[in-house]
Amino acid sequence: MVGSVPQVKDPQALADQTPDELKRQKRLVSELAGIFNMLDRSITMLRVYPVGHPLVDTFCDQIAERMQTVLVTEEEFHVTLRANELLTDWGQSFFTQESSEREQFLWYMPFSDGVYGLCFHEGVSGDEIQSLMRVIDRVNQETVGLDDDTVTLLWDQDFDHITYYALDGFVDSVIAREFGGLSEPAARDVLIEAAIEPKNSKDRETLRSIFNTNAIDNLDTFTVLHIKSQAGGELQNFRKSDLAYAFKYEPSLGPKLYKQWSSGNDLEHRFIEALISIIRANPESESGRRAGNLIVEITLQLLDIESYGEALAIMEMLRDRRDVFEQTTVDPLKEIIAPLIEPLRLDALFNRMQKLHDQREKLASLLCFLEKDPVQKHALVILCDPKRELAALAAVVDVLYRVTEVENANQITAARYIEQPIYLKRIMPNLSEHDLINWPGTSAMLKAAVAHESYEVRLQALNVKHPLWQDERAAESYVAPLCSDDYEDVRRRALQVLGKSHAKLFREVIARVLKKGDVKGRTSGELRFLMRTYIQHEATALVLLRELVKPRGWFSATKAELARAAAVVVIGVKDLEGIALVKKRSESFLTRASLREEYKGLLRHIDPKLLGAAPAADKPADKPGEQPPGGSQ
Amino acid sequence: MSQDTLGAKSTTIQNTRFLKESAGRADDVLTRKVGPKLCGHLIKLIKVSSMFSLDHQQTSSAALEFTEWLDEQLKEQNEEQFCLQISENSFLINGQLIKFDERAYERANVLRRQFGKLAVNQLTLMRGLAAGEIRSLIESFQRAGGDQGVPEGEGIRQPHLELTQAKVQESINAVARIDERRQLVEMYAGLLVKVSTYFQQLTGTSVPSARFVKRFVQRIAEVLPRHGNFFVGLVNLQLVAGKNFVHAANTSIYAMLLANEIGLMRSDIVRVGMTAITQDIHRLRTEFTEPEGMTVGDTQHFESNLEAVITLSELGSSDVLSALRLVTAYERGFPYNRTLPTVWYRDELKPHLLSRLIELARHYDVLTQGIDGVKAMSPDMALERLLSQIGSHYDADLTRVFVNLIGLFPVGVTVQLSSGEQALVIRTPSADSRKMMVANLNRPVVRLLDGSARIIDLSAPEHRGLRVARIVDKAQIQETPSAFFLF
Repeated sequence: MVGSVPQVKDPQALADQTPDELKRQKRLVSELAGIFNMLDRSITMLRVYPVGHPLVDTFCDQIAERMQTVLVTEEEFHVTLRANELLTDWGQSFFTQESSEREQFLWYMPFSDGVYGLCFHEGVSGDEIQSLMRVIDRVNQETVGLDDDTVTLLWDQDFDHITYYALDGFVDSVIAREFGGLSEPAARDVLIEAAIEPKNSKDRETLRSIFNTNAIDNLDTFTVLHIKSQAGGELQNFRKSDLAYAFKYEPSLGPKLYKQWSSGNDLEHRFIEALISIIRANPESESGRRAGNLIVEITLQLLDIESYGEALAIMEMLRDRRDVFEQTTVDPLKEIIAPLIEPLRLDALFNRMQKLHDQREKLASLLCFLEKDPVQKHALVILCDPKRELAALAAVVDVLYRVTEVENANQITAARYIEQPIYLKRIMPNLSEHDLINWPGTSAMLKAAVAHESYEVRLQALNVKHPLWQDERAAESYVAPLCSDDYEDVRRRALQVLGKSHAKLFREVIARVLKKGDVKGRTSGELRFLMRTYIQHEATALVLLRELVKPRGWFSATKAELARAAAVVVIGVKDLEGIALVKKRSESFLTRASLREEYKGLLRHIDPKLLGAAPAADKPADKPGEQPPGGSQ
Repeated sequence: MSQDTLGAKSTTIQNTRFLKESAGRADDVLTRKVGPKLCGHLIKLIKVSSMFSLDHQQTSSAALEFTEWLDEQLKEQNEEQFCLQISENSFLINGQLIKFDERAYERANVLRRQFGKLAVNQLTLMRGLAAGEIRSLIESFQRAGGDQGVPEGEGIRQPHLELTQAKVQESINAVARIDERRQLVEMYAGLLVKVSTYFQQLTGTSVPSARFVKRFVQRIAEVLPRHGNFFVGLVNLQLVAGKNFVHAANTSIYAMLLANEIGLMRSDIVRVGMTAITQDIHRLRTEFTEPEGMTVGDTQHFESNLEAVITLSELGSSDVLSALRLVTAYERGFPYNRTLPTVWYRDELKPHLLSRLIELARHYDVLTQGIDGVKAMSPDMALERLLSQIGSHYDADLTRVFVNLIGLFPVGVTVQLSSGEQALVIRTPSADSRKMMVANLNRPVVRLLDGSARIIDLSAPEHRGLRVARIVDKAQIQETPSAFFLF
């Protein structure tokens, strides 16, 4: 915001302060001193860390928070800039050159550019603080372009919660030679008066006498030729209908033209083309070298102002045009990439990817364009850091996915990463949307994931459709153990995986579970599921189930659990031999009382005909596993 | 022309300095080097004269050294004078704060004390300053330090040296609240003056800063959505015409209006405005020449445009947003619908919207201002010339947006009504009335210039009997209207 003139406190009113007001002022002075001390320190961070680095973001957020504590009661606070001190709006100095830790008083340069006041409003954010301080830093470091100074740069920021006040100059004593040697203010006044009071002022005459000849003489050849050709003679082809067409108002014209501005071959693209033309024309010339430098400089500037898409487009263009640079010592692409793969820069780019929702896609593409190894390493480090909050976790995983190739696939399962529990926990849910069949990292990642402490990770790994799970040895080593996992979902999924591709292994696993009585953590429902699944896949399954029904006496709770489940299943599949066994055990005093009662309960719900058809329990069935017609789960 | 045949040719390009390190911004040199050094010289003079007599060789030598240095600096900076001002808080040179380092700032306080004793705050040193004139300055300082004293605030005046009391604007109170209409006039006037100074500096050897120009462009861009018409009116009042700087400023206004109408972001509007102003600045340098006999799209055209880019890069900022405007120099000379040869761009591209937009704005302004051999046209005639090439030389869509913005009788022109009265156009027909109503084109809202200042909407049914007969030639305007009439 550019401010209009702030209200200055009446000196008399200031003199008549109440004790409360004095107390408020004292508190405010102390707070402002603290805030501006932090702003002073923020410059050091801005110089060490690149745009978008999380440490800078955090520090600026802290400054904004501190400002907010003041703004809760004040709504806004004004700061007056002086050459070597800062004042409150009632004129009290609260931060001076001496109190600054810096050699150079940070606010001197903005003041020298004419900025004499700042006002912070409620709602000021860390991003705004950072933008403000980047401007102050640029001005102090003298990295400002020829067209800019503190005032123009602040205007560019278009702050919502920071207002600045600026003078055009302290004293205008420049002579405007075109205006007959008048000083700039005098020339301006002549123009103003001539415009406002043309009748009563002599200024019109003054202007007429100064500017009495036409002297537009800096036009290019084509313009002059064109204007002269247009000016000559009557218009041949012009019709009134042309006028009607031209003036026909169409609101769609604006948006149509805007689209041409914002899409397609944009200015950046064309400008780089122009610079490449200079290099192409004279690769080893000074001009060529400088054009190369300018390409680098502009691309890095685009990154600093967060125009990631444009910067990437330039880099892609440079890659496409590498033939231009092959014969030269100029290699702008290399020079652009070199600073970008430094850890601090990468950290900043990943951090911006978390913050800027609408830029995520572009940032991900940009990161993937850079050298794969350092980007992969950085993504891995971030993913392993539990302190690092990742608002766009999927985007980070996406980058990791895209930069992992055969050559660096082994890195993603390096012990230093895999051993961090959070690592796979973050990756696995976000890998599912990618094509993992052809990803070189998948096998290693899945093998590590099935052994992860989190059941969700194990389950996600099993859910990945990958050829690894079709490999017999891999299934035996990595999937089969999960059939005895502590978590039902994992066990169930592991069985499904085995059941789909490894029937033999599948049967063995179930048999092992049932025979060993591996019921730990399993619900009766799961046990029944296992038994039924086993029946479907193994011809001798019922023999095993009947054995499970048999136990009697003071057997363990595990066996009782298995017996109960087996009884339900054999009854469910209408296995007459099994039913007979259940019936017999329900009548035996050797059977544990509670189980006996449960058996009886089960039998009560059986069709009497079916119960009657059951053979004597000590007689073997005609054919093991044979089921009556219609008998199914 | 193919890309491969290019390498051997561009001797011009090879010999051109491209983005050569300049000595820095002109104003930076002034505030960082000249200013501190000037103070250093004055302090030295004070000290030497306090140790030796006025006639002593040491004093004379210091004075001579100072005058020689001063003359050299004035020439280098293309300035007629240096004006040193000292306020309670600051040291200024030619209106800009001197950028001292820490110790130099402390040392400069010696000067503040001396000036304070004399109750003056401004020392003006002009070209041709002689060592003898310095002597009178030193005498003043010595008298101020002694018992004799000098009349407070009186200072001294020599042919090339003045020691005076001036008002230094340093307080926020100095900025007064003023009428919004006047503020707008000030913006336009300020833009004209700053562009004129910038162009003036460009003709010298220094690389001046366009920051003060940009400040005005930014301010105008800010108010353009609400007051675009008013700026068109100010342009058409033709306070000043027929100068490069006026052409640049006017083109900038037209181009920004177009950019605003298209819906560009405010930073892009400023970019458009600055492009319009700086598009031809390389031609202000005497060393820049264009080859004769080139035709659109030939090798000479390419080389000439490339050279323009190189020279402009040297003069302008390498700041990304500023540098991008060089695209218009690279594409200069192509009609809107002509594809640039592949030596320009690998892909077949037509001129960018920025180039088309600037081309349209500048041509309109040149037609209405005139150039050597081409008389200035009235706005309606100029518009017809543009429209006669709509779709061939000029982008049809863009031109239609432009003519609808400007109108057949633009704001600010004086017209004669069918009743014989002269009137100032203050509004072009509104969008609604333009709809399918070509007849309304010559029915703007006008303010009578008969002393009554009555406003008449010519498109209103009750004024159907009245119409615009013609645009009045500047020389025949009976009563030059005030800019405030535009509101």
